[in-house]
Amino acid sequence: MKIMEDFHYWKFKRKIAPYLFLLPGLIMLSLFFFWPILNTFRYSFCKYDVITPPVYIGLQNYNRLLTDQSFIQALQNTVKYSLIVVPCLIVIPLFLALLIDQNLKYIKFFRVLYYLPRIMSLVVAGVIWKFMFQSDGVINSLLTFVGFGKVGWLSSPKVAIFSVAILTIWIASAYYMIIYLAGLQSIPVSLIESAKIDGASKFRRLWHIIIPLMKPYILTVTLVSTVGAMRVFGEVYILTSGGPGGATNVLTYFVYQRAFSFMKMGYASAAASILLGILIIVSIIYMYLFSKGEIK
Amino acid sequence: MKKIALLSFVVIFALISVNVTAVAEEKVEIEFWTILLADAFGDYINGMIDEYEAANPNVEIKWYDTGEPITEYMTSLASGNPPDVANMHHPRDFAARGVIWNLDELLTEEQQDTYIDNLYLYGEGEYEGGHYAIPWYGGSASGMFYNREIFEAAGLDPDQPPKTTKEMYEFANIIAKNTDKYGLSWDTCGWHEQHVIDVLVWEDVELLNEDKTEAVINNPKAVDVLNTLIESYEVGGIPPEAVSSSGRDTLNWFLEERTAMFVQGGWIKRYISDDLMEKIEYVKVPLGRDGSRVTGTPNWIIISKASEHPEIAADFATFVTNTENQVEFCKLVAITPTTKDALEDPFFQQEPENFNQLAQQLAIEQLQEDVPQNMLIPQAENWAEMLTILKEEVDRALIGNQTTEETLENVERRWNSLL
Repeated sequence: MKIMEDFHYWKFKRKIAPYLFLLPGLIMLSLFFFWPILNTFRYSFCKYDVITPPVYIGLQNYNRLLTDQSFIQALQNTVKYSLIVVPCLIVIPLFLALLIDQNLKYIKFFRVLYYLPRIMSLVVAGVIWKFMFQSDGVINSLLTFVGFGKVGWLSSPKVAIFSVAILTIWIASAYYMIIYLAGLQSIPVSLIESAKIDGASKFRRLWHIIIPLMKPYILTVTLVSTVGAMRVFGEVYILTSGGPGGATNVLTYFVYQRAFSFMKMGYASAAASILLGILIIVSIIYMYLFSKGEIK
Repeated sequence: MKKIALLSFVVIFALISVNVTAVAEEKVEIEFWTILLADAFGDYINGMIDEYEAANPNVEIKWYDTGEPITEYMTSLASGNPPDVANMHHPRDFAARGVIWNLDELLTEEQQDTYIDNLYLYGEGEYEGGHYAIPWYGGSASGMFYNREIFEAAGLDPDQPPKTTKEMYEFANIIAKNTDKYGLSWDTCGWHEQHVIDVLVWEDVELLNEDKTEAVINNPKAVDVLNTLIESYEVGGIPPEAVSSSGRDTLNWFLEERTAMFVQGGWIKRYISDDLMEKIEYVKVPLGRDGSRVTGTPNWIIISKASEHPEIAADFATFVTNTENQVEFCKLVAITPTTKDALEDPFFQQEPENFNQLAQQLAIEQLQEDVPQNMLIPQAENWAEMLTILKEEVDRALIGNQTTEETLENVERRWNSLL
């Protein structure tokens, strides 16, 4: 009997133990992630300035957002920015990873060099790029030297969004490069060698072997970079403050301004909830594609 | 039995000792916030705190220096634990929400009369007839720096700086035309996007009707002022990045000698290299087209309603802002005091021995001049949002996306939707 009791107790412990190990993480996630999200959603139906108690106003915040030209512009800018950044972050890091995935002397030095932007503080990087983007900065000086005219990197509403994107791509490429490098190094060498023996060119090896095998990594990078692009804030805050004329005002900056400058936390919460909704939809689409195992 | 009795005695004695000690040491704790003063003025603040604590042994001041006063104060209010005394911007926003004390209830008339009337009675601390904030130190827009070398290179007389805004923009345009520099360090952003409204207030442009219920900013004077600004921007008198700058960009442009003129308080001297100091002069702020000037808003001290010891908090606040302490503070940096007696202190009457004193005397002289001194204070609820709207629309005008008339029409329409 005692043996049976011990057996049931051991079985119970075995079932419950994994959950106990997960519990601390779940508590932290709940406190610092789920609870704030739920609260944000709650406040989105309220008039709330953080200081005085929230007052329930139903869907008024959402109705106002639909006709707020600043919000619509922020939404458009966020989509525009994502459409610029995401393809670049899919392709450029892959190219960099292919470069550093070679058995060359001093290749480790180049791996460190290409990773350096990632370890730099966003503020420092932003300030440096701000200097470079100035109308009389180094980039325009080079362009003038080679015969092109000056570009309004931070003053032209058509160009400023690209300037913000350049900063993001410069910093984030290093991160995704490492993800791709891990993927490249998981490809069996024998496959590549076989293709070489069969006379496949570098391009054919890349297109028909490497990229198909890298698809899970490409999907991961696409999902993570899309979510990251839609949540961009620091680059905008440092480089352009949402200008010129709102041309780089993105959803997160819109939320920040409404929450902390205008003291309209309820209104900001509604905008944040819409952003969260968009991100959830995007994530579901990508997860569906991921489970299917291919990009349609 | 004996052991139990002995143990009980020891425990009881220990408990009594702890309680006695706790009672004897019980102090009133006052939390005091300042804004970005710790790095350069830590000794001064700590000295003041030590002096106050020595005179009030039952009070302990807990000092915290913040770089994001409004955000952190809002967070502290939300958590129910705001500081007792805080150096703060935009006190009116907090007065409107009933979270700070009306100082009419905490300070005597004599104490309130200490401060410069214009600031205390009619400044940003005033709300619906009550007075919610003590002015502490002023520093912004007290003068104009200009680079003599750039003036000379542009063919301008370095001994004849602009005395009016009209001249200022003209000089800026000449500098842009004759050199590879920009004339004026100005942007549409600044602290909480105030720089556009700054220009309009400077020129005494009417913004709202008397009741503050309707925007009247679309008027000929505003058109004229904006057209001058746009013209200067188009010819390079103002850097192109003025429409997307942030933080201290305008200061950095001047320090880099990218721009020739910069309207700002003398407190920025600590960022100016010795080499640059040799090349620049500091003069009065040019007068607007109708002879008016905009006075910078001082820093404010507020007392939270949630303070458990508001009388002690008020006492400490008046100590920090008293004449003696303000004059001592002014000896460390080119800021201006906010008490009436401080303005009469011999320190500000003597021949200036250094740049700081020169800057202070210049600022005080301007304050005492008989010209319209327009204060930059919020004129309506949703003021922060109104400033952002103004900035966005003026940005579009500066980059040529819309005319001045369209800009002001848009601003008026959008402001009216908020009023």
